[in-house]
Amino acid sequence: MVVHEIERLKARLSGMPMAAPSLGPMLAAALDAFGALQAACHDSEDRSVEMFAAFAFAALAASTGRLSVLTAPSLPRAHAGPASSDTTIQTGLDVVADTLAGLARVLSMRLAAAGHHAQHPGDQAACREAAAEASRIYELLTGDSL
Amino acid sequence: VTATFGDLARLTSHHLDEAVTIPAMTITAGTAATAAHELHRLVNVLSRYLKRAAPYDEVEATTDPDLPGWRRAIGPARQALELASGGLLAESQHEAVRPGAAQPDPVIAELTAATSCMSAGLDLLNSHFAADHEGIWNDMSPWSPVVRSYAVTQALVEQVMRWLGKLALLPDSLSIACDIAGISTAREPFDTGRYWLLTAVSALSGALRTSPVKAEDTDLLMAIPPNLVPDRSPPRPVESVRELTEGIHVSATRLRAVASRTAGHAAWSPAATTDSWKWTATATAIVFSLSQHMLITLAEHASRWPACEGTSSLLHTAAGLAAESCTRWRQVARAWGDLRTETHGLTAPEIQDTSDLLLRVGRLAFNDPDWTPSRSRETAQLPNQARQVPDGAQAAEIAGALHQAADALGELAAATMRQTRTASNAGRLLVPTRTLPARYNVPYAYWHAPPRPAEALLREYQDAVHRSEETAVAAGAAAVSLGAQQSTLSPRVAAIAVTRDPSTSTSGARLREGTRTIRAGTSSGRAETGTGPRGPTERALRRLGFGEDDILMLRAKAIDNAGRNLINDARIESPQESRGYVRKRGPAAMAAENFPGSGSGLHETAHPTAAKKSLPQPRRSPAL
Repeated sequence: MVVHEIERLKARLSGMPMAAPSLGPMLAAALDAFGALQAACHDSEDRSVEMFAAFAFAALAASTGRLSVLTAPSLPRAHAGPASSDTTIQTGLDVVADTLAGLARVLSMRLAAAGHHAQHPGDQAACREAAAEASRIYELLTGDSL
Repeated sequence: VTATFGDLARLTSHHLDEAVTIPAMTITAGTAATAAHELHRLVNVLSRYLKRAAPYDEVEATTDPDLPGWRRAIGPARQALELASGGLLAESQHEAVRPGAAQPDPVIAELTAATSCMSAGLDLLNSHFAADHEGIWNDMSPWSPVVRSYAVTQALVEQVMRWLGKLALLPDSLSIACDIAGISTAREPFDTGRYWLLTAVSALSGALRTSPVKAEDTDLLMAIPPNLVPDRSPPRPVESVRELTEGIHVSATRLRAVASRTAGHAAWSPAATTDSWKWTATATAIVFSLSQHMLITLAEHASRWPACEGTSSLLHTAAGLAAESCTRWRQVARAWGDLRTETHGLTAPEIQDTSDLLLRVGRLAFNDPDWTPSRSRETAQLPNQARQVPDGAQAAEIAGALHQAADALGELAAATMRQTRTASNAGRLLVPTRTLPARYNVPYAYWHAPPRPAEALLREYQDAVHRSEETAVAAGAAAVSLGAQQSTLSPRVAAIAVTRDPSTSTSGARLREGTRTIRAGTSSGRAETGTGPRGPTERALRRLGFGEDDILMLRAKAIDNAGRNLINDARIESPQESRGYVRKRGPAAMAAENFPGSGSGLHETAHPTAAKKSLPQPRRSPAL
């Protein structure tokens, strides 16, 4: 997976309306985004001893967020495969961290909005928990909170 | 700060010295009886110490050819103490002035204080054990193997001999005081006591002369703490290297306690969550990564410090093992995959202490008092010059702290592995229903996990536990080589140091040997215990009067050994183990519980198996 793949996922999420988003496609995009974040963070763990802790916990948060989305009743059935596991990132670590943090930021905001508009309590809870995990990823990779 | 056995031993010696050096008291018949009473109490406590060191009778002690000389000498010494105690008791029953009845004589006050300290020391050692319904002493703490090890027991006997040597001087001066006071009839018990005390000293000193106690084994005895869990020590904004390493020791001690107390909880406890276990696995991988980084730094600078030959090599070995441990732990974190319990959140009792430990290890590694995982990018931008190279004493402290961290996390991991098996057997491991094949038409968000992911996870845990234990031993050997006191080692590794070939090598050599053995892949680094407890069959035959060389006794020992081996093997996959055995038991106790007529199964707990349709709200405890 390369940086432009992450950017494509970010664009996909950004393109969704904040007000009353269509929940099914939104959750499907969120699931893909968490899978990509998890794989990219795992891939980046080895690249710097200083950044290992941030990437390892970010990968864990992505895994937890993905599990939360998987329990949302409105997630389309087709979107239930395993998280992507093989990925290779060649870009500089700062660029990777910024790119992943950018995706996590959009993900958190979209999930928070989706949870606000969701009707089903199960969707609300899933979106709320997943948004918190995305926010955590952003915090770990940038040192700032959303 | 918790008092150690050494603190109490030093206080005891101080009071005995004071009692002996105070100018001869003006004695009356009453004070003579009181002094005899206090001496009688002291001698009884000393006799109890010797009984702890050799819990067998006179006949066994003299007929067992495998017992070392100093252990055989304990029987005659105890017999002498009982005779001394008997004589002193006879005197004290006459006209004793009980403590508190009047202003006590300084000598008597010192003797009373010595008795209290000595008794507290014995209680401290006994706090690491608990007797079951058959009177078998079971280990109750990670220090238990150290307390009952050959080397520490020998050091304890030597300490008793030293106290006896001081005490033996006192009846003489009391006897003279009786003569001066014109109550020569009161001197006889003191003369008798002195004779038997000297006999006991003579028996022990002669035996210990041929097999001298090593100073480091005495150090380890003196470092034994009571079986207490220290209060949590949360990281403070700015901590020195010493404060950081001490904080790591506290967290490690607390984690070991958690590991020993949570067995079986996963069958029912809402606090036992996969979120907690995944988080702990990730944090453990980070600790090992940081440890590797620090051990390499120490290895590169090892020539600067006065250290043993080969220290750099030991540090490199430990760093290599830490790297392997980190890899294993990353695999554990990934192997968790989609598994989840019906409750979630970071609620397990180990989270807070693991978090404290991780923060301190990170702050040590990067010399950054504000380090947290969220500050990783800022840390990465610090110039390398900002990271100070520690001096020799700090290097030993750091290696010792990394050893403690690896050991505690390894012990916690072994407990988590058992918890995972328990949760799996109890039906608490679930997966999102969407991840199951389409044929699973289940109207719930989660459903029971198929067996394969849990089995794969347990295999990963097994590897990670072994590698963590090996890292702990190697880091401990490196710390000792850098000059760390053996007493700063974790109890489990200290037990290795005092049980490997105790007659010939030093503890540092034993640990280095342990590290070499680990590298050769022939040992998991677990402690070997000296003399194991007798099994139920052997004890039954002894009660029936069968001797050591009797063929039936040999068969009884073989039956007990076979029972222990069978039960140890069965523990690996035992459903009983995972259904809530809370107590930590030795092989003999397990054998006893599983023999006919025992109370096997009394500790089983009910375990919920049904998955819940909707999950409760996550309860997160703050971590990092």
